[in-house]
Amino acid sequence: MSERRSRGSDTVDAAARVLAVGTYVSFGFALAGTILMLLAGHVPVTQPGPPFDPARLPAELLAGRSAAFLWIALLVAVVLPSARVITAAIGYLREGDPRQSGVAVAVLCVLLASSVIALATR
Amino acid sequence: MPVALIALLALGGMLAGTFGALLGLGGGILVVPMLTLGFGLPFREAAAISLMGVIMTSSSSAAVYLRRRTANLRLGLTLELFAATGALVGGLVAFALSERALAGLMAAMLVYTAWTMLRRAIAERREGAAGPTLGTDPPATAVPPGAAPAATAGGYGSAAIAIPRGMSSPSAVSYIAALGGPDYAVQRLPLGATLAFAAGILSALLGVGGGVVQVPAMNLVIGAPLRVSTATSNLMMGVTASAGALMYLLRGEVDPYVAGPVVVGVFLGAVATSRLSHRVPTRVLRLLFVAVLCYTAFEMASRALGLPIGPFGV
Repeated sequence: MSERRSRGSDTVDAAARVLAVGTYVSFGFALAGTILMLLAGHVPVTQPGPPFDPARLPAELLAGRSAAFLWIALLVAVVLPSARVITAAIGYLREGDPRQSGVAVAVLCVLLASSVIALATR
Repeated sequence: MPVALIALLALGGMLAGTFGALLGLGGGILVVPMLTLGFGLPFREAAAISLMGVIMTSSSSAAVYLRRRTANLRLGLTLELFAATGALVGGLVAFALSERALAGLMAAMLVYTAWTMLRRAIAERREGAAGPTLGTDPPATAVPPGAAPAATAGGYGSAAIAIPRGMSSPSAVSYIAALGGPDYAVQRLPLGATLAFAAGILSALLGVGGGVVQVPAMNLVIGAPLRVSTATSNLMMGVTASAGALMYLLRGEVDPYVAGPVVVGVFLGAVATSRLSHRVPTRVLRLLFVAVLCYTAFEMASRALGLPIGPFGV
């Protein structure tokens, strides 16, 4: 019982770590992107940024383009809650609670369905 | 010009993050009016950017709430299933509704939030230091993810559990029993899940966190203590908002040049507030916020009705 509770604590702590690290990574990219945007003289609102293009993202990131940094920041932010749910799913499975793990997987399925529906209907 | 606009966006995000964190709203309730009325952005784009801010504040504060064992991960995951499904539906409905209809819904949401805040302020005045009630519990402020956690109060699912009302299947009973905390049992989960679904729809539709619905649902319906409800709602907001944000992002509704400064501002405002919140007279602030919400609701209602927008608008 105490081992199970200890593992349960591990799962919660692991989920907390994922969120903490991810938040800082996302904020770092957003800050860098905003500074680069300022240096490049991009005018927000009146000049819309480039659309999201995953294929061009690595090259634009290496080229130091502000939009690439901002897209990475937004992507990290959007997937962060999913990463926390994945961590919980694995953690609960390892602590021998497949039912709770299954609920986490179901949440992931809903998030995946959101992506699929968005791509299919755009 | 670019510097001024970027600074204005970041400052607006910071104000929204500060107010949101101080009053436990997550910031989304102000980002959408700021971007639509102040910067003339389309409603859906503003909602998408607002959801990004909600995810950032939710993730940073949830990390600390989890370490402190204030947020209940098991209960949060269970309700997230329904809230995320609601967000999926809300994200689809948002694209079917007109800008004016969305503005009208936002105005109604702002009035409801103002009314909730006013009730809290009145309850605080009446109860004074009589102990925590729905109106007096500290708000869910965003906290720096690196902040030191307080002493842990034990895990969840280990207490003596009361059998939840309306549950007869042994499997369901044992599952729901495991969702409870050290000093409370989960009750009326089906109703709580339905409300989480509704909160998810609102979140994706209007770009808000949904805490205005989720916190009372968890506290009054499910029976979790208010502190746990607030922290768990904060945890859930991330998943709910990301389900909606994914819909907007993949449909090309997010402008990175606007989202970047706003997200930076919201995060900085929320984190700074967590360090200062104990010095701020929350009751006075709450009344001020009610006035801001009422004015913003009026502007949104004007937009919904096609009337000329006031001096705040562009």
